[in-house]
Amino acid sequence: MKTRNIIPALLALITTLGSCDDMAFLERKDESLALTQDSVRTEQDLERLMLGAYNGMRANGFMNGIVAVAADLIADDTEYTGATFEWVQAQTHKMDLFNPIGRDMWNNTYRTINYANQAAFSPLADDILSGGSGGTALKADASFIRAIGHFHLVRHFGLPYSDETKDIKGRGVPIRSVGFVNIADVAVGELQRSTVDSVYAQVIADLRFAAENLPAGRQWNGGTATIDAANAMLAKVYFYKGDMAAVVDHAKNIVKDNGPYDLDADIAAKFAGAATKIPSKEVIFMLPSTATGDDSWGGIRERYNPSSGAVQYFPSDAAIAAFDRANDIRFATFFEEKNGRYNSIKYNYAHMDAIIIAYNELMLYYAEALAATNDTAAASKWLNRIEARAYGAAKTSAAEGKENIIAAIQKERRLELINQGERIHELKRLKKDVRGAGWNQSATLFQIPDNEQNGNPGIIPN
Amino acid sequence: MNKRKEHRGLRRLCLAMLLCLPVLLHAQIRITGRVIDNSTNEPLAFVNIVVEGTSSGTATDADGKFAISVPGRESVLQVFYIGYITRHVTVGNSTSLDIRLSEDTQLLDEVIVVGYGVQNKREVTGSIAKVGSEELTAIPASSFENALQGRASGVQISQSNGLAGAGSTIRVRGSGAITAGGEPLIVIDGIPIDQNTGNRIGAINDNPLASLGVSDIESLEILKDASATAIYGSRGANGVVLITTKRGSKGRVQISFNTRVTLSTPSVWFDQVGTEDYIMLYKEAVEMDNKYGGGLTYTTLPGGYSEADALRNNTDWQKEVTQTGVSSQNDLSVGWGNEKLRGYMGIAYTDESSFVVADNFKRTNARLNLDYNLFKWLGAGVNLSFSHINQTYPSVSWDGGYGRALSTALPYYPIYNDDGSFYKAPTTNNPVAEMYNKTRKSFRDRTMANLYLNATIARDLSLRLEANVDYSDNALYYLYTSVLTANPQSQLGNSYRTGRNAKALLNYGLRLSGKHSLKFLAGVEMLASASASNQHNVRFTAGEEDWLFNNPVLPPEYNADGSRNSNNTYTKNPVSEYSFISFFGRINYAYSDRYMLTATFRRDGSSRFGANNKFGNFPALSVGWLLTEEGFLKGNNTISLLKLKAGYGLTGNAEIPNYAQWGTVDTRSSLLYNGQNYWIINALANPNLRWETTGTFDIGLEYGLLKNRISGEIAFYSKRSKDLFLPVSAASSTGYTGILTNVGEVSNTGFEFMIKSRNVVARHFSWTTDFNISYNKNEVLSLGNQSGPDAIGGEGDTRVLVGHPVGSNYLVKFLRVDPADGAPVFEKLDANKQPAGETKTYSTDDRQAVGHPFPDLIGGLNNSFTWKAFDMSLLFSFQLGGSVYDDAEKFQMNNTGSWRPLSKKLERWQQPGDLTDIARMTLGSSKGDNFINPSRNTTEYLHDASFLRLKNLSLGYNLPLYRNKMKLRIYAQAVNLFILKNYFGEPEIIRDMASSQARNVSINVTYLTPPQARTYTIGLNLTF
Repeated sequence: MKTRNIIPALLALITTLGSCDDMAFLERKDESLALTQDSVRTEQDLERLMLGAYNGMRANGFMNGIVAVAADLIADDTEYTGATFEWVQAQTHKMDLFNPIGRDMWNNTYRTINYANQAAFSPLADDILSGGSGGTALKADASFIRAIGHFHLVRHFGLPYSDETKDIKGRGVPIRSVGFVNIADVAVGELQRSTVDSVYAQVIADLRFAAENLPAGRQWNGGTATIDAANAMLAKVYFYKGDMAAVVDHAKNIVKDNGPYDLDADIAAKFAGAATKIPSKEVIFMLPSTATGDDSWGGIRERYNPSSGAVQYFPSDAAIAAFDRANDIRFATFFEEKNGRYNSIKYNYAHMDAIIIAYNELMLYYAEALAATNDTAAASKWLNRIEARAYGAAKTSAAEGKENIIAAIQKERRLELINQGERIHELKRLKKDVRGAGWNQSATLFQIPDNEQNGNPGIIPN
Repeated sequence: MNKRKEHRGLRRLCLAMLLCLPVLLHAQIRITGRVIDNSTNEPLAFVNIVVEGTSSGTATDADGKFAISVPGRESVLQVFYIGYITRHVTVGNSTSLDIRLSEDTQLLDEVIVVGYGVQNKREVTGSIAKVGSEELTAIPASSFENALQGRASGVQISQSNGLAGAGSTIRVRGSGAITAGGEPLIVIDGIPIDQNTGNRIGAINDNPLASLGVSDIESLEILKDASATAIYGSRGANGVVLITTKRGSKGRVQISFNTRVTLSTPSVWFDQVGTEDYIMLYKEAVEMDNKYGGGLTYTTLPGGYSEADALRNNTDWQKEVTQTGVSSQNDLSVGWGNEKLRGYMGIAYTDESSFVVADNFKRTNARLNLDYNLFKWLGAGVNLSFSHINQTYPSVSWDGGYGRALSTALPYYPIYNDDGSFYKAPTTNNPVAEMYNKTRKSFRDRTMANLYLNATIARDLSLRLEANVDYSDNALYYLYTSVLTANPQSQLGNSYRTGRNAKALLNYGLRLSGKHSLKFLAGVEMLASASASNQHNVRFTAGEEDWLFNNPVLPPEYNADGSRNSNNTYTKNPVSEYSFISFFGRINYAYSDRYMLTATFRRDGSSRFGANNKFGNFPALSVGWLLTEEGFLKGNNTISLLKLKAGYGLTGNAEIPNYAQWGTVDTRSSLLYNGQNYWIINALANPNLRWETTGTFDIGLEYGLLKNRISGEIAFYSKRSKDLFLPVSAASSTGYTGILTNVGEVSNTGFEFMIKSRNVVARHFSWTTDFNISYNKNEVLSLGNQSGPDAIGGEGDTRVLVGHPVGSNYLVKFLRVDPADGAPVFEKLDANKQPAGETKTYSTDDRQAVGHPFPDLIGGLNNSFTWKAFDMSLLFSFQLGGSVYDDAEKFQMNNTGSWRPLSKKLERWQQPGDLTDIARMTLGSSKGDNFINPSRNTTEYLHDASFLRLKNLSLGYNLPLYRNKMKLRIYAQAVNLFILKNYFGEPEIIRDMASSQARNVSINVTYLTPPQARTYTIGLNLTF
């Protein structure tokens, strides 16, 4: 072969060899590996992802109750006798960026918000939903979940809502409204904390969207959000925002006679439901627990009633002292004297549903909002329902006047929701100091955790 | 009958005469002659002339003349002189011989294996170290890489331990990797083999290279710079090791037989306290803790022993779990060939037992390499190898056994009960019982097959087609018997891996106008690998447990209600696959044989890379200048070779996980919320995922002095690796706390020096010295957005920190022991991490980067001597400036409540005024400011890992038989006979690691790791 023929021959051969540039050869994966791009293709697939987000609400630090325990430690309704640093930090108001309670709350709540957003508000969901129904129900579910998440976070990492605090830059939490499906987006996913007002606005907008678009006909124990759940949560959010007229607006269609909800005769029935399988009329929305290995409220149950039997978390003396021990049925129901001190038995079950909002709680927000908007008659009516169950008879009459009725409602709310983690938020709402820490100071807040600070060095810390 | 046959017949006749008529041998013929330089015709003085097969010889005089008596006309004279090629001259009918010797230009004509081909050393412009089979087999190691230590500059070989079949880590010019694999690509006869670090079996890293027989290796080339490795593209950044196995050659049948027996002992013994001292120390610890606020009451020793009971035993557990291991290796090889067919066949059997009880490695391996010339223009060949390994792994390190003997086995525990059964210690397992009752066995088969066709299409144009398969089938058994547990269990893991690889190479050579020489290579390669595994777990009724391969009675797989029985489970793991497609080319250009240029290019696509980066390009360019071909140096008597070379290129590291680019969904049916199956996206897609890229600049000088009597190479390099695949922190409000992405940067800068000197080449005595030394500086330049020191860490508080080497020890600095109270005093750091006085409170806030995970200097010094029929070789290997962190010492020195202390704890502080570096005794119960943290990670346990080790000392005697037709060498040798070091333990160590990241990051951490073996070997080699 002559030299001049060789070069074309070489090129021809290389081209031939090169034609095996087959991308199929470079597609290697195990059959069992479910690629997102192959597996998530329909609205039903997105619904499964949304169920994953609901399941995520049960995560440690989100709605599994562990934060409620820490909140009561901070607010002095609970006392811790152990030495584990995160709980000691909570008890002494010195939560640092490494505190696992704060870290889990932040990471797991945001993870769940992302799950919800992935299933409804993400490039992946957009591709699927653009051709179908538009995914209104999915978006309503996602809105509900992320509203619960942002509200949970802003209450523990952000300042309380007030005219003085709501517009301070960077004292709310980052608002996540788009789900991540690509690592490159996460890599540039740093986001500053919004103002408290912006967070509340987002939470309210999301809950309103949920209330308007969630499918009718869902049940309180179906595990997914209902219209009533969204309205009840709206009432709660407005309550902490101080917009009492809006509380009335959203609660009035739920708190009513002859409606689907009522106070259970047995005050413990709603807590016992998962174990006893006896339906409660009092739960508006909960995350169901089907078995001991599937404990939705394990975070709070395990603290007050540990499987090991070695209790380290007790109702504080102040909490005990708040009760009329002789006459309050709740006291006998929720506490038991053991080894010289009172133990909480409110959560003494093998496994529990995580109650997100219940009728008694909503009733008390509603009652206070009614009183605040000068409907003392209606306010006392609902307060009396609570009193009647707790003491066997109503205690407060409309005639006692607005201020006294509100004081009575606030007292009953503390007792009704004892050791459910609401006390700290009530104190801050009322701008009361929390054991020397000012209501609008950082001492009672969890610090932005190390994981966030490492990946988002510019974030404003507490 | 042609002349050749005639000669053969004559030789046979002579042989017969030799055997039958020995008396004839006494007839001597006197020969005279002269030796001259072939090119200058100058006479050569002091040239050695020896009659082969005899001890008689002479040397030339100043005029190059000599006279010698030979036994017969068939006698062969061996004529050798330094700097010249040795000649073998048959006397024949002449009585006066004129012998011309040519200068030895071997340095330039040596054939070097390069990526996808061979080159003369003259043409090579990259940095390549060659290690020959003699050097590889010089050390009785079952795995070839263990024989590389100290042999090649820039190549750090750290043998993991002295266990049977143990491997080494190989780092070529430092390591640019953090989480990805840092091992070089290993290519055996064109088959790239999996670079994984081996499975962790108990606390032992299995050695994937152990399946290769050392005796079959002809040569091993280590490609070090980008010019040499860029042809391997995305897999070349960690260097490439090319292994070429032996092939048959034309000529008579060559048979070689080697046998050896080796005794193995530990090279390091740990000095531990006995029972009496233990009791004293323990009681003192209680007393001291009480004195400093502890509030303890001494009642009994740990395990509830009274002093009297304890004093009945003083068990030397270390001795009980060690032995003198006996190993043997036998190999036989046959090489043959004619014009049509050439073949090589090797078979070897190794049976290795180390100094650790119950440790055994057996390997049978066989190889057949055939080359067949089908036509003048077409050749074909096959390489087939098979190995079978049968290995028993002892318990070591954290897994118990040898590790427990050095840790929680207290001296007053006996080995056996009175009835001869194993004693069950109350606080720990019995180490000896563990050796025999917590055991693992593996059976590993590996087959490698290679087929090739070599077609000469035209003059200087050839095409080579290759197809390769590498198949492994491994079974790993584990048995934990009722002697140690109430729930005896057994496991069987099976794993399979298939590597397939095909390539086509086109070579073309061109010479233009006499001065321009061009060589072209173009190629394409496709490669795919798949691994599968499964596992069988069985929990037995106590007393009925047995190895699964003995077909014991197994519990039923299903319970009566149809549910699966958890006492007998089977798990099948997903198949893990990857593939590469590569296109590559190389141009070698030389002008006047003195200016050389090499340009390579490779384009690699891989299934591992993300959709947006499916293919990567890896170019390299290097130039060489052979100064000694220039007029001003040609014929220079002092400088015989000077070649300057420089190059720059890009290479990649594709040792990233197979499926990291994919976004995946967890759809398991077991994921239930309120009774309904839910899904979660458990991995995000990373379409940008790519290889790690290393840019290397390299400059080198090859030199030869005094007719190449002294030769060597000097090199400087600078490597910068970027896009390292790292876990980085994400803003966790995204829902992700960390992601793996291409962000990090690491640099390696180094210098290498190598010299080989033939000090004496005389008639009866020769002496050659090889010395190499290498310096490497490893530095992390960037970790993306990582700000905290704890982002990437390893065992014993090693960290990856910007401005420091990968795997820096991040420890609190110990300053002294306070003579007042015996408490350790540490260096306090301020908020800026600057020294701010002293503290007795151990706080992780005071940690700082200390120590050197990598040695500053590594190297080897080999001296070889021959004297008459004797040969001797001494190989020293050394490292300077590295440190080792003893993660177990902190417990041995402080955890007296459950660990047996080292004897050096006896040097502790005891009373005010004592000056010592060993803190006072404590059980960790002292209170407040007096508290001493017993599990502190401080520089108390960081030691200088410098060592100088007599790696190999061998002495051989060569016996020519049957007139040199058969050679017999008998030898004795010792490995690791002595060591100079500062650290009391074993400074050369690699801990068992489950991942490549841990292997990279915890490079200098030891934890009860067995030391290197000191071995004594006798053996013989027979070739004919």
